[in-house]
Amino acid sequence: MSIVKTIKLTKTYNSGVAVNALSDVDFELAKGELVAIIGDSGSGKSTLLHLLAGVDTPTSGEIYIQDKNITKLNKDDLTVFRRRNIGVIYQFFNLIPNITVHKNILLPLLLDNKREDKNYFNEITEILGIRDKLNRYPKQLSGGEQQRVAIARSLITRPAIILADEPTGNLDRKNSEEITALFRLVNKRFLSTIMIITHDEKVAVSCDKVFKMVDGRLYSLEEAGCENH
Amino acid sequence: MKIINELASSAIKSNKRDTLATKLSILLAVVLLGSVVFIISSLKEDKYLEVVSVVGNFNVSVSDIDEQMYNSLIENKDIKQISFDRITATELNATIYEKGDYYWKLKGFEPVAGRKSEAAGELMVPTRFLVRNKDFAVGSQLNANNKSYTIVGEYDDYGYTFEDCIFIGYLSNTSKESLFADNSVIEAFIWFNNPRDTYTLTKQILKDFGVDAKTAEDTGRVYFNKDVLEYKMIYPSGIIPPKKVLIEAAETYGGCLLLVLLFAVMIYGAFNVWNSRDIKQIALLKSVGMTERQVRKMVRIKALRLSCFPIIAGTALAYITSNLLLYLMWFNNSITYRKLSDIFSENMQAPDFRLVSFSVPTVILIISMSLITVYISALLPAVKSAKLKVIEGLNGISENKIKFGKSKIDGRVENTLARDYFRSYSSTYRTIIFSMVISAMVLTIVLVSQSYGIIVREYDKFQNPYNFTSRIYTQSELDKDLTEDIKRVEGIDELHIYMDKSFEFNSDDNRNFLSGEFQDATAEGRKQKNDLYVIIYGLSEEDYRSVLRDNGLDAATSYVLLNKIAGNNTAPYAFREYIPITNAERKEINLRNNEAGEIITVPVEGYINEFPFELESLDKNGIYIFTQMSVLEEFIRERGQDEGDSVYYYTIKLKEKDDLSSIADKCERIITSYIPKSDHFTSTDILKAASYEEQNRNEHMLNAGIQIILLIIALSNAYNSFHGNLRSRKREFQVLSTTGMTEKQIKRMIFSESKILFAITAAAYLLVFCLAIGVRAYRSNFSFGFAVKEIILSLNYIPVILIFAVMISGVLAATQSGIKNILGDDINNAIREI
Repeated sequence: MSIVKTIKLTKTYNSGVAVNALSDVDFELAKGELVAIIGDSGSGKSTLLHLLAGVDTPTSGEIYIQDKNITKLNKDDLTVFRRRNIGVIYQFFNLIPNITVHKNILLPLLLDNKREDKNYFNEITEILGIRDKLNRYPKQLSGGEQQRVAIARSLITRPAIILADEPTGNLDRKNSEEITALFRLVNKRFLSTIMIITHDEKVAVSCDKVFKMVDGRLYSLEEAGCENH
Repeated sequence: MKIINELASSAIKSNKRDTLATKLSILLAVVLLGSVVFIISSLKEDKYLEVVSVVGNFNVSVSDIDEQMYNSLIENKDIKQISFDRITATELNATIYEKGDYYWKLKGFEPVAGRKSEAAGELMVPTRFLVRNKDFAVGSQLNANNKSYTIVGEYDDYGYTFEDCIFIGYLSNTSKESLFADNSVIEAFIWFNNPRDTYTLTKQILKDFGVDAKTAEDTGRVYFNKDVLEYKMIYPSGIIPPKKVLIEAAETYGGCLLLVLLFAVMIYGAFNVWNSRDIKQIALLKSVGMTERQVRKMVRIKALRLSCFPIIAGTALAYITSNLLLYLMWFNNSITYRKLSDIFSENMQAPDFRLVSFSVPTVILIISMSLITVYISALLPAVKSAKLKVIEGLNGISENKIKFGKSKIDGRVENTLARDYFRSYSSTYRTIIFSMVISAMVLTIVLVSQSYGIIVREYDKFQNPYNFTSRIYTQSELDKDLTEDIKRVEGIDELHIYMDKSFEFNSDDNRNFLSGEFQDATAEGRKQKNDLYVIIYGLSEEDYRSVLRDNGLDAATSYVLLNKIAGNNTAPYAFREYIPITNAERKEINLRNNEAGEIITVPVEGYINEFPFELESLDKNGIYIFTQMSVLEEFIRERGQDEGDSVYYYTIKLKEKDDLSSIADKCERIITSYIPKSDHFTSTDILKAASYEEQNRNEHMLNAGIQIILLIIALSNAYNSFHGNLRSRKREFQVLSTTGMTEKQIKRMIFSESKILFAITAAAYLLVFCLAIGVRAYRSNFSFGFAVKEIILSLNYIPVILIFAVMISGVLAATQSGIKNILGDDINNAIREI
């Protein structure tokens, strides 16, 4: 069953000159898959991620997440849907600096006025190795620790999909490896569907599938030919 | 939702330095707004307390109470308290008011000599009664209506000596038998158990006795103590105030609401800059799932929490400043009257300084208005933050269609880049410009108004050539000894003593009297036929003979008409064109004392073209006839006085170039020796100048105070915005530095941006300046071109120049400080960030 599906997804930016960031992308992700999307700078990887996250709107095409066409939702419904079904991790600035790690993790639930499942919360923080850092503030953590907290936050609502935009781009090699390993662990342990945008080959090869974005078109690296997805 | 409150609070706590400009703007706005509200509320409360202490806090009074009504009132369970007055007319042009117990607890009329009445048969009388009736004094006996009274005290009621007096006595026995023993009128003062039922219960009581409530109120038989009732928000329709009260409230507090809007706009600038620093955080929250509604709520809560301390501190400071302001005005007044002689200073002296009253409802009003100001200022940033696109917030890349300019390379690179940057950050600069222009605009409106006032004084008012004028009101003809004594004062350059009497002029009584030119003016809407009136002036014999001689008229002429009137009611005084009042062959004019009075025919035996000796101004609707004083006095004796206006009006005017102070003093002492102070009013150029100077000083002080506050707000906004803008561009400056731009070049570039900012601000201000002058000139009675020219020439430019000098200094200081901050950082750190 597809957790994520796009049909002829297109995004064109028009700031004076028209730029086709994505062209007719057809893409599917099954539940529990861990995929990487690689590509040159400006190829459209982040654009795809932003569209799937619902923080950007496509020029044409459709996006289904858990069989829900998110392109038809209004702003508020889309925000609420994102809160409950999509986890997003960025390269920089993932955490709210003025609240504790604990609250950063629980943020989507707090915005929904819901209480956490304490057992699940403990499990996530244990696995990510941040149990003893819950009362600290983001500026008291290292880059790697901050990314772990961001991963924890993305997991707390048991989302349909987790989208990560260059999550190791700002980390040193050791931390990058640790974070990559954590993604794999989380994928196996919680059967989370994860899509990672990355330049890092090591991150890409650790994923189940790798796609390549070239000039706004998506290709699977598994197939022999460069078939556009 | 707790998380939203927590995010708002933490944003304030972690950014204390950045919130300073916003807090300062709010604090100053509250100080100004609060001062105005404290003063207004204090005046209202003072008025209420004055009424309560002098008149009493009863709910309603009903007069002409008979025995039946008395019984009914005494037995009425809804009445908490009732007090009676007995009113008895006398043959002494006075009425005796024997007041019940409640009156003697009030401030009432304080005795200037003797004491208050404490028992039956004791009376307090007004000073003017004793002046007029020299046989009576404190301690003497007075008989009225077959009763004997003792005068125990004297009070000042500020009325004319010839008006009816009120004697105040003590009502010791309020039993029914005693009250209704003679033909006196009984008045009841009623307090209800529930004051809110005043109107309803009073109407019911009257209805039970077949008295129409409206008629009773119109004729004065029923008096609702409205000053007290309305203060407690008790109205005839319950809690809903009548239109008159609403209009009064709008007039009183309308200015405050305008201030609320003005400050909301100014605080918005500061708040917007601060809120913009949290853009990334808001974008992240939105990506995590915060809805637009939640974002708006968070931004509004941020604003309101931020404003807590400034509002409380501002309210406290407002109380101090309002007292300081009133003290300075009182001190200002003391400077004025101390310079005057004692005989004149009494009229100029303001009451003693008293602290502004501090009341909880006033504080609540100030806090509420302040919160509304802050809430309004946060509305737009809240909406903008809510609409923020996640990607834009996180990456700073905007999808909006940006209008790019030609971006020419024209001259030095610093200037070229400055123009490009100015265009890119136009929204930031727009806020700075707006804030500065608003601050200067308020001052400009005040200055234009003052300048216009100067023009009106010079061109739309009669330029009185006399520097001493005393207006006398008597019940009989003026004592000729007074006239002789004044004439004997040495050193007077020119002296005129005259009387006047006004009459109604009915055009139906005077058909074919008004000139053709007047009829044309009426037809064209320049004049109104029904607004005309006549004044007959009785000049001294010497003056009248001089008028006849100068106009070639026969010495036996009794009445002459000043045959001219303004051709246009709206033309300014100095530019009036006059038309003849009459071309009629028949030389008589028909007048009436009042609308219902008999016709009085006055023969007009000659015409003159100028007001004799420039004694008075020519009112646009006035018809002036001149005669001799003795002739006018005889005229009044023969026909009797109008019952509605039985006063004799006399005027003494003189010119004195060299020693006005001493001459005025002597003349005033002479007048006062014949005419009580309450019966005349004297004005001199010295008093007018002193009053004008005092008013000027007060205006300058108020203006300076308001302007300082607005300036600080504008300056702190400008400083904050400029500083914040430079800080946010730190990375770009470092990139410029790595490409080889020297520090000096970067500084020049930033200063070039400042120059563009000043140029646009100056242009925007010039537009506002021209608009302010244009609107004022358009609305005036002067020709547009003339008004514009005169306003420009009379304007005081120094405050405007000062304001801009301070603003420019402030922005330059921000620029310097910002440059120091950005160029002082280690370049390696910045590059690493990129």
